[in-house]
Amino acid sequence: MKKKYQEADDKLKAQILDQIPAPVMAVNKELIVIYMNEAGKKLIKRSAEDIIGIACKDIICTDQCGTDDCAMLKAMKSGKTYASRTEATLGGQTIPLEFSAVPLVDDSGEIIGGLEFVLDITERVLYENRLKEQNHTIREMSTPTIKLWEGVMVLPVVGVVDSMRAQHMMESMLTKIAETYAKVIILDIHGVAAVDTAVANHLIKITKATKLMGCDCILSGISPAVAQTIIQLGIDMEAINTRATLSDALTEAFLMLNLEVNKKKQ
Amino acid sequence: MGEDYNTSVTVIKNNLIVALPAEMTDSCIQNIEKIIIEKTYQKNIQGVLLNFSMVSVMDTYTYQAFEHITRVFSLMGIQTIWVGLNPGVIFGLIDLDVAINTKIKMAINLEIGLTLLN
Repeated sequence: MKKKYQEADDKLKAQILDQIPAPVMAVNKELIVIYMNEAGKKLIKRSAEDIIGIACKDIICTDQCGTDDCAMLKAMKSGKTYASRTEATLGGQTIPLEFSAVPLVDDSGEIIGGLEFVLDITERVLYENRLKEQNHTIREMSTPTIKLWEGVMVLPVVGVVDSMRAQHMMESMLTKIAETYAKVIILDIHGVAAVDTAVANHLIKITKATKLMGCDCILSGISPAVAQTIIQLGIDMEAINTRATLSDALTEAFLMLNLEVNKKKQ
Repeated sequence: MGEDYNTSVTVIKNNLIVALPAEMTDSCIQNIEKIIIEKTYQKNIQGVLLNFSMVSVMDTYTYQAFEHITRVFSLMGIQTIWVGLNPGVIFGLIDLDVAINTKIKMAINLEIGLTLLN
């Protein structure tokens, strides 16, 4: 059968290797560089004479270089592929890199060195960090514990309560109680659309935790629909002090603290 | 008296203040229990403050042991208040799903605990 397309010859293959936008580097068994493609030369800003014959740890400086953690050594020893992330220092700059190290074998199948394929992931790391920051901000925003009165804190909850968020709520509440010595904390679930068994369980856990800190927890903002669902689901909320609105809860808190609100006499 | 009994017990105005150590072994808790119950009986104590502020680790057994002590005291007509449980310790207890007795009185610090006693 006649082939329609001919495979690239050796010269073209070398050119292809040079045109890959990611750096590719090969070393011999002594970790001396024997090959570097164009992208690699560009990344480290050195010419071929300056690279070939030099130990690879002197060209790309990472924390793993020269230690037993060297992926190239591991790959050569085990004959398997190693992929990992690291940071390399190149010309005073630290660049996050992702690399795969594979053993280099000759025709007879004997390992004669190692091959490394590197990706510059500066942008990706930047995005990841930004995402982490945003997650953190959202988490902080979603669990604000506010001082309402001397010894009274309120935590308004809006949105969906999952176990992660419940954990954060608890964390935020307990640290605030420890800081302010609050005696009553009001958990306002007015903004929580649906309360199921899991959410109710989280809420019960939170009230127990605050109780252990010597702080009473009042659950407020229970709408008629939510109250009905809780009863329909057969959840036992007897252990929790519950109120319909935030103002009812505040009145209850005043009662607990032996405070009285009076109208000013004319 | 056991060797690992390293708890300070102070009496102020018929109240017993027990500062519990950071880490307690099972035998240590038993020693503490024995000693404070003896002391409350001898010295006509009316209230006990268990200060947990130094406690860094608490497991189900420790919790139950102190709940047991609290129940013993309540049988003797003595009020017991738990004081200064750390947020970290509480996380642990909640994570372990410990059945928490909400009837026990808790306070955030000694001052509030003392006012609760009076």
